[in-house]
Amino acid sequence: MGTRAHGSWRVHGLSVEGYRHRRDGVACQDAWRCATDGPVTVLAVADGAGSRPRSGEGSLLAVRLAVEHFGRLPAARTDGPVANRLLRRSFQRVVDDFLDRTGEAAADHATTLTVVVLAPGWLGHASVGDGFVVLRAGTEDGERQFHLLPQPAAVSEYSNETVFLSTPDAARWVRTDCVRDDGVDGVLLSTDGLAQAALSWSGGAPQAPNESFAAAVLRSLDTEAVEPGDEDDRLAALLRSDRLTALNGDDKTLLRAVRTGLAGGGA
Amino acid sequence: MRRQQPPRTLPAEYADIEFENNAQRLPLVLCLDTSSSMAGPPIDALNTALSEWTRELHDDVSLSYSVEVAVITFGGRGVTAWRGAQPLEPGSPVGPFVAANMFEPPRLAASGVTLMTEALELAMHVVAARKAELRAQGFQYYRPQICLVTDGLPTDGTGHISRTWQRLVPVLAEEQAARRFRLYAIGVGGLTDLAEQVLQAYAPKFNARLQGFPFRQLLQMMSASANAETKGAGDEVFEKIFSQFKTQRPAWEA
Repeated sequence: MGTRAHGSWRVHGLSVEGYRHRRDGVACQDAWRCATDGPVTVLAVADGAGSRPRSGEGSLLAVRLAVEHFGRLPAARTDGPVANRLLRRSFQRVVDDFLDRTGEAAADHATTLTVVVLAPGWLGHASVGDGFVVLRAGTEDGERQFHLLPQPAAVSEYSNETVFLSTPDAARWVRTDCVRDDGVDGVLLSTDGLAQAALSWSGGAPQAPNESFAAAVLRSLDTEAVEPGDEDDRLAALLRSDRLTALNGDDKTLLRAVRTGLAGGGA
Repeated sequence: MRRQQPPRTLPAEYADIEFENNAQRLPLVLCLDTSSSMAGPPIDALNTALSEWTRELHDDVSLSYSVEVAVITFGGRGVTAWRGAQPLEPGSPVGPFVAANMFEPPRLAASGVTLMTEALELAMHVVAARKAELRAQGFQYYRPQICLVTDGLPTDGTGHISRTWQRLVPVLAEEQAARRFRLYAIGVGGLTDLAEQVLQAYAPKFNARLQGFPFRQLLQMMSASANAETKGAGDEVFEKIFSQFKTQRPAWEA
């Protein structure tokens, strides 16, 4: 797929099948998508439920609907409550559309969905399930700073149970945020397959980004690839590495975006 | 489909990523009958199967870092918890769970009585204690699995058939309804009808009565179930795995 320019952002995404799916010859059930309409860029990742027979189709449908509905958000800078209301409305439209299209087989298409909207002056986030978003913004003592956006609350004692778009009343579980910080110059979205590698845990919950991970995957996008397609190979090698598989054998998706034309603020 | 081997080293631009040791954990208890009726070929077959399974587990990049194995045996004069190949003294400050990639199976010998009830009680206790430990340490975990394997009826400490197993039935029903673990109860070596009833009462969905001692298939089924657990499979997937396990060898079925 390679890197693409989306407005003032350089974007690169990749999904790879996890160790178990690779071994069993099962296709990747994660999906990602990015689209730009005027000044608004939408990034979306989705993780099809491993237990459901059509979840691969579900995750593809979810990211497609996400860029369609969230792409219609107004670009104008809005205050937090209004932005959150708009994000919830877009999310509800995704859910409605998803349920319309999958009908009685909605549960067979079970998938999570995590969306980021990049608009001039603000960034919107909406998520259901266990995907996550890390932002790069600002520096402190010369070090780039990374921030984990709040995730929806956990629904169970066990780590493999979460909420899906097809979960009844999914909109009740959605988490939305509006970030108004012009210093945001890097964004990464991921499904839970990278939750152990990309996040720092304590007390059974992710508390912060694993800064070394976020720094490395965004840094490598800050400079344009010499050979188109190279970044796919290198990111795939990272995502398929034994080191990451040992932490989580699930499918993995990384969608990353960096703002172009900025000094980058450091390293 | 092309099978790509996962790269063992990270690309240079990602080589400086520091990873935490925070893989999600899946506690797995093998609760094994080592009473005198298992002596001879059955215990030999169990030891061989445990060694082969351990090797397969070590080779599985994903399971080897998520599964934690504890072995509890009931035989000899009572119940023994093993930490890998080492028997633990009662009251030992360390628990029996060992990361699968570090696990080495005990060399089991068969003798003595069948304190099945007490062994299952200990299995439940170590699972609850391990979950509390994992929570305290901040680890995420999957639903634990307990696999009970026996060739006979529960006895008391003198070897007489005991009815104490009945006290466990409501406890196990409640624990399983609360999804605290998955229990598999497997009878081997041509179980009697009464002994089968015990297993049915313990694990209404996941019980089996197998002819012979197909320990290898049994342990492979536990790995398949662990795999399904880490994929977040629904109950129907576990039922399918179990029913395939029970029926794929019709020659061995009762």
